[in-house]
Amino acid sequence: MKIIVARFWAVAKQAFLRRMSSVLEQSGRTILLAIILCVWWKLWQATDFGKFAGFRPKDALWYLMATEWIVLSIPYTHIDIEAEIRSGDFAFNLLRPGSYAGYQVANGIGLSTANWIAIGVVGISVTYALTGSLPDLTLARFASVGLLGLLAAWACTLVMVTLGLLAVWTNDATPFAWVWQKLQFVLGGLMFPLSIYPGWLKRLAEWTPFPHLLGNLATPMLGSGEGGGLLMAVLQVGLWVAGFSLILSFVFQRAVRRTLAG
Amino acid sequence: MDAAVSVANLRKEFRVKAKRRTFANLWQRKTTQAPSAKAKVFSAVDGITFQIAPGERVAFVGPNGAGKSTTIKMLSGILAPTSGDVSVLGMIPTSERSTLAYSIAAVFGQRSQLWYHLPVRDSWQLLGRIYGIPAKIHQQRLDTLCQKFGVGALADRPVKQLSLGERMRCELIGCFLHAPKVLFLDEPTIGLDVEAKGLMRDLVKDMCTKEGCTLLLTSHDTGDMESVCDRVIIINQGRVVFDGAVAALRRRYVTQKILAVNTYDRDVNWESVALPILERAAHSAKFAVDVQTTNLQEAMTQVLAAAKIVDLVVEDPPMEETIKKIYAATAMSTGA
Repeated sequence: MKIIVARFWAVAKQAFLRRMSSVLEQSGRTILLAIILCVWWKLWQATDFGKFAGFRPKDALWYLMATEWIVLSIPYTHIDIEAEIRSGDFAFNLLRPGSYAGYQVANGIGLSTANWIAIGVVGISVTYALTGSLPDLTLARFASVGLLGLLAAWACTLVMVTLGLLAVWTNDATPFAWVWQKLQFVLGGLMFPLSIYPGWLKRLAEWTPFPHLLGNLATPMLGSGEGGGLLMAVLQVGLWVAGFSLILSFVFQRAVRRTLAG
Repeated sequence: MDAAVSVANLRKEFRVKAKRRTFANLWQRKTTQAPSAKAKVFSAVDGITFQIAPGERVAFVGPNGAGKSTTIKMLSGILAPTSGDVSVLGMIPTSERSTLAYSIAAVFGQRSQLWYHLPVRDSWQLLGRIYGIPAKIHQQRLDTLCQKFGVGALADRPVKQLSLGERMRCELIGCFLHAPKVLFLDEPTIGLDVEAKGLMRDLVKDMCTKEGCTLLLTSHDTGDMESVCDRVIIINQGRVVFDGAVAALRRRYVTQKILAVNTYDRDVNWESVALPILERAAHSAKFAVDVQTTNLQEAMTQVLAAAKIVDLVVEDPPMEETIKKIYAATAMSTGA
């Protein structure tokens, strides 16, 4: 057990350090976030969105920052896996002790943690600079939003690894990831909180993992007691992590079986 | 003593679909014929059997598509056989891959087990963790291997900045880190220059001898076979066509000797010599002697009588020629 933990810890640590040291990649992500925040801030001020949706523009921007914080932290692990499957390296990586899927998840966790730190620092700074104030939250609740966001990014890493492995059958995992991302944006409430959605769409979304891993986690940023309890949020993310782990394990076993068959 | 590698009647078939599945031909297939009629079965490995004793160094030689890499993949557990038995260190590779992984290592010439963007040292460090090698033992072993393989400053460079020869040396260090009992090398010298090839061969032979590591090496290059291995298994069209010592291969298949002579005179009239001339140049010539029909001593006498000889050497033909003969003979016997 100790060896297994040490093994995955080493992979995650290596990925974290590698991503932290790649200044260009981190700059790209954080600049993109800063642009998104600036554009939406101006848009909401110009359209008086706050009045229409019932939120202050300041709170809506903090909400957007929190959702983008999660989305931009998720690594594109599926692309690496797809490339390895196409080149045949996937089969050769099975020669190492331990699970290939486990390595990819550990690698994704390392990358997402590094992304989360950079996005968090820039996101909070830029949002604060634009709005001139912090969200109406206690520091502990604010921290919990961030940490749950990290957990959600890890959960999404499990999905990205699963989607990448689908390339064993389809040779191309990008369409699956693309569909996942678009559903996440729409049903997860990336731009707007689910509370302003039509009732039927809101009910539909609640049956999917997307709001539990995105919008619901950011709603405390809207202030005035928005969002469910912390414990419920932790439970929901935990359940999705468990569910995604089971799906990943199933898909990985099938992918290995398919690869071994030639 | 139990064999390190044991293969019995191993077979691998691939089903090749004749047509891609498109909406158009899905409809056609549904309406005209059964789906299986479109699939062709191709035998990559066709019932091979051999055993390798612990510590033995065996070359697995064959032309392109002979089934060498397919066999190595089945032995290392990343490809399941269609039928037959495979055992490596007493384990079944496909079902016990995770356990077997600690005791074997593999280098596939065109692929890298090192992380492309990381400095080599970090890759080795990561491999150490993956194989669960205690830090102190890992460091000692790494120091020894780095010294032996002469990598020194290379270790701090990212893998992507290494030349092929440098990378292969680093790959081998990665392989030997966890002291494997069986080493599979698939075309390890492909693309290397003569000097790098020589170095690789010496290092592999030396390490395997010292550590008692069983080696199965596939190669197109008969030089790898002659320099590193004691035994050779020749495979063609998925079947073993020769299995024995390298010396036995020569005895059995080398039916020709080459007489290479250097002469005192620049131009010599060789008409009196009743041997085929392979090569002719100023002050030198090479003759082929079929030892099954011609007495070598008589052939030498003829040559010595025809000119004033400065030097005379009896050579074996290049091993490539011998192997080619074996391939041709098996192709004829199978009617391919």
